[in-house]
Amino acid sequence: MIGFFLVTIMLCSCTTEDTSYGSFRQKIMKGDSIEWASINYNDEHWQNRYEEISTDELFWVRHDYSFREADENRSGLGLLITAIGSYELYWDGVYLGKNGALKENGKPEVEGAYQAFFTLPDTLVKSKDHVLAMRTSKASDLTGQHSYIIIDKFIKLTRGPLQVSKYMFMIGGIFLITAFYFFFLFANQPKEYSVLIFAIICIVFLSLLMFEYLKLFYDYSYSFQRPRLQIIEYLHIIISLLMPLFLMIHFSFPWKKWMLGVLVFCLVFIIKFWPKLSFDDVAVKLIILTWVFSTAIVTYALFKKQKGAAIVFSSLMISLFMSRFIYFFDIAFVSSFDVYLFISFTLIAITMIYVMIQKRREERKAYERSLITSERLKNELLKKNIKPHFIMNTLTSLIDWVEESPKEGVKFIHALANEFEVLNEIADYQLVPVEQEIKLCKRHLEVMGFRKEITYHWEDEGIDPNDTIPPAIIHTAVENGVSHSLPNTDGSISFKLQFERTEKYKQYTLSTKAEIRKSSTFDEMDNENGDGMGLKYIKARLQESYHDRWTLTSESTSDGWATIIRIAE
Amino acid sequence: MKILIIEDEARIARRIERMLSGIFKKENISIQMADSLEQGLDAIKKTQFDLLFLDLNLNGKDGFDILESVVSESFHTIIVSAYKDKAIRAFEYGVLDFVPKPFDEDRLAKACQRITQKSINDNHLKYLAIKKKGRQLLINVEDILYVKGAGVYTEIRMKNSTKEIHSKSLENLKMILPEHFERIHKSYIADMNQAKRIITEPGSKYSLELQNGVVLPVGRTRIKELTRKWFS
Repeated sequence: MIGFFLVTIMLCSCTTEDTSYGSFRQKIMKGDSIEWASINYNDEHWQNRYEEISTDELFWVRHDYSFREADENRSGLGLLITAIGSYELYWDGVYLGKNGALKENGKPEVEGAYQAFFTLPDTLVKSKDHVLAMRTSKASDLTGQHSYIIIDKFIKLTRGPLQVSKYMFMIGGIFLITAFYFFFLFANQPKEYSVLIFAIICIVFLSLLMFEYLKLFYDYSYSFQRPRLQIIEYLHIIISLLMPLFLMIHFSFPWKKWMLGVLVFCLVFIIKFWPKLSFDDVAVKLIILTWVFSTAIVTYALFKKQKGAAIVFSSLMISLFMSRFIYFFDIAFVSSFDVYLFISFTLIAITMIYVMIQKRREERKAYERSLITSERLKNELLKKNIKPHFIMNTLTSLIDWVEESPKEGVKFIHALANEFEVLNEIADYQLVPVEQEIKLCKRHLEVMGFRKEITYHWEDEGIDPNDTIPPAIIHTAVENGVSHSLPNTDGSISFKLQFERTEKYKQYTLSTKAEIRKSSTFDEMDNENGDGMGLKYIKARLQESYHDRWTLTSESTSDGWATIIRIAE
Repeated sequence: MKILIIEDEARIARRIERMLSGIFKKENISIQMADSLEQGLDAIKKTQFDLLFLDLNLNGKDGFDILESVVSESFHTIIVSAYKDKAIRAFEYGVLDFVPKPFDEDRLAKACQRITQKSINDNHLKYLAIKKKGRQLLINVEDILYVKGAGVYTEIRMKNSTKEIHSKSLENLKMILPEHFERIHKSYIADMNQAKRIITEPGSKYSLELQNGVVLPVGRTRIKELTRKWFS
């Protein structure tokens, strides 16, 4: 939307007047003669094309120019000269001025600016035909040679490009602020590389924009033109790599390395092996490459119905549409291609910002959800021992013990107090030392011993005291064992907790040595509260701390049950 | 009297047993215990019990499935449970009493006294569980027109003229049915909300006509009380 808006504004502000008066024909001759400045000089034997020109010699370029009949209001005209070289300028043999200083009389060349403006006195433009002659030297930059001239109202020549570029600098400002925002964001969340990549993309866009429009605000010398184009090419290369990479990371594209490999291959081919490409050709090909790869990735995301894919896809489609549309306009001496490029980039970047912010919102929501889950689990844990089934049965047994054998009753009360004490200690934490957990299990078995009048044995093996696990998950598995087991012939039930650590995972195995009640199946192997929360509690706790890196299995063994919790390292 | 206790908490089962021995001092009672539903149902098949004490949460299972299968039996059921909030629902299923844990001997004795009472005031029976072709079926109490005694069983006549058989005796059913179900004859309990008028026939013969025209006999000894309570 914003992109369209900008394009519309620019087109409105830039196409109100005809640009450029007349046309040029260009001739070149090596050597030096002041007669070559004259309008009457016959240059038919001069060359039409540049040939290799050494850094030591002078050469002349003559541009023929004819005003059209319609160009009646010829006042306040000026020249915009873009040239590789230092030169003196003659209009119909009249010296207009110079750009830099020529290499002659043993003095070194003072490099002229790449772009220069000259005013054309009204007295010199009354007739129709004219010759603009440039006495030139080129001490730097051997390869390539060109100069082109635009004649128009001086004020239009100097200010026209700014009409376009002001929007570009506004866009630059957007990129700068966005880059800062995402850099700071990355500083706070150093693991989010898509954020960093996006920040870099913004900075690269900004740099591209600065270097593209450098000529409008900085009179750099002609020898810098080539390095400037080189830099722009590098920036294009970086964008070609980063934009698909960003989209791959953001949309969790599954074949990242493969895609990146193909992309790099294409890049190297275009830059190194494609024959005879100008800087502009390379830029166009890189942009097509970026578009194709980005579209491929976003199409995948769209196919997978990922959030934000549709909007990025539509921005890519709009940019494709605009590429057909924008070439019809000539925008105030600024390459419409560049304008198109930045509008498209801006459009895509804005949608990228949108999806980034959307992702932030999703993350925020997920975080809030996780907080709620944690609170709920904490609640669940605390509720465990105040649920009626536990507390009322315990109290009933307790009353009975107190009434029948007060001394044992007191022991029971202590056991209960001990269990509550440990439970209270661990309730606030997402992870607790496994030793605490074992303590909780032992104390729970002590309480259950008084209630069920069954002797419960506890054994542990290979425990790493420094390891941590979510609170009360083994405790819950023990509760299940107590609920679903019949005592062995000697009236006892044994629990054994084993710990095992390999490079890939750590594993807790709780074995219940007892006869399992006939009707108990794995699905029903739930805690004594019978509200289906037992296994769910264990799973939720594991998910909270280890996300999807855990497995929980519960199976019957030759002498009872085994509950196995495996956590990938 | 034969009593069954289904309770998975050994200590509590023994507590109930001990207290029952105290409560039914003079009576000759025998108590059997089961620590799981399976064990309990096995015992019910083998022995004709008079009273059942049931924990609603056995080895981690919700007890209402269990309840449905025991309330259709001929004996009375007393629930002993930690979930006091389930009491109303349990009464809807026709249990004799609901004893919340923790309990003492007085509370248990009160529950046992209900066996000898003719009716309990605070019953909320909504469904009657009956056994039909080996399966449990719940019938809505509101759909009952009258109940007829048939030996150890009872015949339940529904408003839609269908007939169901219940294992409980007329006496036991009277105890758990709501108050508007009145014993009008030694073999009949009628829903007095459906009563239209008393018909007096020659020879001190009395009948009760229901709104749908059905006429039921009324016991001579009961006519006075019936008229006072429902037709004055």
